[in-house]
Amino acid sequence: MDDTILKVENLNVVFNTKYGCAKAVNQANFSLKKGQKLGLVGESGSGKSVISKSIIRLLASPPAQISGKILLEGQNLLELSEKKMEVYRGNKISMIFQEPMVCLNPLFTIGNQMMEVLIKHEKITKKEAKSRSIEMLRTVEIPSPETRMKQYPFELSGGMRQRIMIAMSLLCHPEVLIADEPTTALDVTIQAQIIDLLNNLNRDFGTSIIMITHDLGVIAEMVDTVAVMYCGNIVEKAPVADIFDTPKHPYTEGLLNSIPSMEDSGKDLEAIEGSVPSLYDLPKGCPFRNRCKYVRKVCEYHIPPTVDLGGRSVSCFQYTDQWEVKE
Amino acid sequence: MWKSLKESKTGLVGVIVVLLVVFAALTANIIAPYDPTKQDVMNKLMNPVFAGGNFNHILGTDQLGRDVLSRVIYGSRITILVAFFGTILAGVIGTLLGAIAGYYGKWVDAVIMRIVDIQLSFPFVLLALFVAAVLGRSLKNVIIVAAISSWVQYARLVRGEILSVKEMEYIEAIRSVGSKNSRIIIRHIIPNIISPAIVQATLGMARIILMEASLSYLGLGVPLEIPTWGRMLSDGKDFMLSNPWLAILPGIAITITVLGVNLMGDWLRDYLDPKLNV
Amino acid sequence: MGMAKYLGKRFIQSIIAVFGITIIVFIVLNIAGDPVKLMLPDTASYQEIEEMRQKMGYNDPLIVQYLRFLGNALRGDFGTSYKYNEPALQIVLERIPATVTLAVSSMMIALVIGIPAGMISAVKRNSITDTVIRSLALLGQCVPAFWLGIMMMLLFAVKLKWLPTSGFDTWSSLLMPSLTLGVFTAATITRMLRSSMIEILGKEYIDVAKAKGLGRYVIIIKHAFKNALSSVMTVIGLQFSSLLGGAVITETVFAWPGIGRLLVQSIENSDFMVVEIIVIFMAFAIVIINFIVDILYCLINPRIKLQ
Repeated sequence: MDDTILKVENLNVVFNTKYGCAKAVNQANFSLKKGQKLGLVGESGSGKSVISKSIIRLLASPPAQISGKILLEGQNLLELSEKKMEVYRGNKISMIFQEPMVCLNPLFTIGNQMMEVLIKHEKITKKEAKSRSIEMLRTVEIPSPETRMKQYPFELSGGMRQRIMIAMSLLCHPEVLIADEPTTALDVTIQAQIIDLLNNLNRDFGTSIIMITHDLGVIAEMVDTVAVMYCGNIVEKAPVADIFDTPKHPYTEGLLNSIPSMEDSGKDLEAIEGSVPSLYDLPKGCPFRNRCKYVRKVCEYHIPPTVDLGGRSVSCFQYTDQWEVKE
Repeated sequence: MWKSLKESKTGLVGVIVVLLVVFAALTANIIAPYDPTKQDVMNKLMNPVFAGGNFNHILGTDQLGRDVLSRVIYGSRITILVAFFGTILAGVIGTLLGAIAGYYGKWVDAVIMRIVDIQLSFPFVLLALFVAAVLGRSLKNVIIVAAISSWVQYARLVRGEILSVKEMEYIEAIRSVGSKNSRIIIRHIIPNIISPAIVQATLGMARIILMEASLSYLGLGVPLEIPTWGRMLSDGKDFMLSNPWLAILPGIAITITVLGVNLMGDWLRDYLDPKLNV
Repeated sequence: MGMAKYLGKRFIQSIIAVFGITIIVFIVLNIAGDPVKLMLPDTASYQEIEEMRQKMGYNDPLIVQYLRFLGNALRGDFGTSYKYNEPALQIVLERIPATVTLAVSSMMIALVIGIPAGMISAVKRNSITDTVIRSLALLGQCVPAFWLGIMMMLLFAVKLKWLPTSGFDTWSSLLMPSLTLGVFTAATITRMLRSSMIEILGKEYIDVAKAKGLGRYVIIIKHAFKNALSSVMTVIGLQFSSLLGGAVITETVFAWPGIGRLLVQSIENSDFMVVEIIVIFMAFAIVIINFIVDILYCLINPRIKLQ
C-alpha cells in the first residue's frame, strides 16, 4: 500500500506584476511519504519558498497564479475554498518560518498565541488547550513552560522563539510540517539544537517534514531525500547519500564543489561561474545553460525533460538520447 | 520628473490646479471682469449663469452687487500670498530653531523641544485665533500666524537630521581634517533635508490655506474689505435662501485648491522620497 | 515598574506643558492690550488710569503679576469678565458641557466612520472600495469644516427641512455640528489606520497566523487591528486637540453655545479674562487627554507595560 501523504503534481506558479511575468515554479513534481524528511535546496529566488507557500496557500493571488495539483491524503488543496483550507492549515499541515524574531505577534502572550490554534481546530476547553500547550512546550524542551506561557515574545531569545514556533506548529499533530529555512537566522549552536529537535520530533510523532534551505550542511544532517531547485525548476531529486556521492546535475555538482570540506582543505573552492538569470527574463532552453560547463547546442532550445534514473531523477540532456546527436 | 508626473494622473491634476490658482492670483487685475469691490445695488444677489443668471455676471453677484467671479479670482491672491509667505517664514523659523536645538544640544535643545511639544498638543486653529486676536487684522499678521502654527515640523526635521549627521563617523573624520562645523553641517544636511522639506512645505501649505480660510471666516483674517474666500463664505451664508451660490462657490474654490495642493504634495512625496510611501 | 516610570515622566512633561501654556497666554495677553483702559470709561483721565493700574497691580514686574495670576488661578479666581461683569470662570464653566458634548459626539462619529473605513480600505487594498474610501478621505481633509457645515444646513435644514439649522435642544440639533466637526478627524483616522494596517498586514506574524489556520476575521481584528491601533492611538490623541480647535469654528457656524463660540465672541469684545480661561482650559483638556492616551497606549503595549 502506498503511504504517500503529500503529492505535488505539475505545480506551476507564475507572478504577474507590472514588471512582467515571472515563472517562479515550473512543473514541480514530488511526493512525500509518511515520516519522510524531504529537503528542498536552492539559492534564494530558486522557487523553494514559493513552493512551500503554495502548499499551505499563503501566496496572494493575484499576483500569483498557481496551477497543478497539491494532494494531501488525496485531497487537492488548490481546489479548496479559503474557509475549508483554514481547517487544514495549522492542523494537518503547518509551517515554521525563517525569522523567529518577527513571527510572533508582539501584543499577545505565548500562551494566547498557542492556545488559539487548538481552540480553532479542536473542540476543546480553554483549560485543556492550556495544558496541552504547556505539554507541547515541554516536548520542545523549553524550560519552565508555565512561565513562558505568560510571557510576551520580546522577553524571549530567537532560539526560544523558534522552539515556540515549532511547538505551535505541532500542537495539532500535523501530517506535514513545512520548515522554511528555520535555522538561517539563528546562531550556529542554536541551529544544531533546532535540527536535533526537528529530527526527534520527526522520529517521535512521525511527522513528515519538508525542509527548505540553502544550506547543504542542514540537508546532510537532516533529510533523507533532496530536491535541488534552480530558477523555479526541480533539476535533481535523489536520496541524500546519492546527492552527495554522485551528483548528476551540473548545478548540483557545482553546489557541492562550492562548499568547503575537511579533506580538500587548502584547495581553492570552486564557485559556479556566471549569475542566476532573472525570473522575468529566463533564457530559452535549459535555465542553467549559461553557467553550465557541459553545455551543448541541444540545451539552447528546450527545457530538459526529467529523466528517471531508478530511485532518483534529473533534468538534464546529458541523460537523454539527444545528448549524442551530432551537432 | 515630467515622466513621473505624466504617470501619476492625480499628481498631474494637482499640479494643474495649483498652477491655475497661482495664475489667477498673479493676473487677477487682468482676467477679472470687474473691480471686486465695485458695488452695483441694482444688480444685487444675482444667481450664476447656470442657475438662471446672465453672462454679465457669470457667477452672479453678492448682497452688494459685487461680481462673484471677480471676487473669487481676487480671493486667490490672499490664499496664495499667505500660503507662500507663511510657508517660507515657517521654514526659516523652523530651520533656524531646529538647527540651534540640534547643534547646541543640552538645555537649548531641551527648551526648544519643550516648546515644540507644547505647540504640537495645542490646536493650531486656537493658536491662530489667539495670535490673530492679539495682533489684530492684517495680511502681515495672518502670515505670522501661519508661520507660528507650522514651524514645528521643519524644526523637528532639521534637528533630527543634524543629530543623525553628528552621530556619523565620517563627520569626525572631516572635522579632524580641519573643516569648520557650520560648513560640515550645511554641506551634509541640506541635501538630506531638501526632499522631505519640499514635501512638508507642500502639505503644510494645504493646512495653511484651510487655516487662513477659517480665520477669514471668523473675521479674524485680513481686513474685511479685502476679498477672501473665507470672508465671502461667511457673508454669503446669511443669504442662503435668496442666493445659496454665494456660500457654495467660495467653498468649492477652497476645497479644490486644497485638494490640488494635497494631490501635488502626495505626488511629490512619491517622487522625491519613495521610501516614505507606504 | 517601567510603566509607572514612563507615565511619571509623561506626567511631568504634561505639567511643564500646562505651565508653558499659561506663561505664553499670560505674556501674549499682556502685550495685547491694557485691560485697565477697557475697564474704565473713555473719558477717564490719565491720572485715573494710573491709579487703577497701581491698584490692580499692573505696574508690578511681569513675573510678580504672573505669580499672582497663577496664585489666583489656583484658588479658582480668574478675574471678572468685562463684558458680562461676572466671574469669568463661571461664564466659561456654564458653556463647557455644550463643547464637551459636541467634542465627544464628534469623536464618536469620527471613530465609527474612520476605523471601519480604514480597515476595509487596507484589507481590500487597491479595490474599487479602497479607491472610493481613499478619495472620500482625501476630500474630507480638504473641505473646510465651516463650508461643510453650511452645505449641510443648506441641504438638510433649508432644502429638505429634516434637521434644525441651529440650537441645542434635541439630539437632531447635535447631528449636523458633530458631523461637521467629525469629518476631518474621520478622514485623518481613515488614512492613518489604512497605512498602518497595510504595514501590519505585511508582517510575518500575519502569515504565521494564516498558517495556523486562523479565520480571516480573527487575523484582521485580533492580530492586525490591535497592532495597528497601537500606532494610530497617539494620532487619535492629537486629533482631540484639532477637534477642540475645530469646535471654535463649528460652534460659530451652528450658533452652538459652547466655549468655542464664546471664545470668538470674547475676542471680538476684547474680553480677555474669558479668552484666557478658555485657552488655558483647552490646553489643559488636551494635555489630560494625551495623558489618558498615553496610559491606554501603555496598557496595550506589553513592552512598555513590563519593561
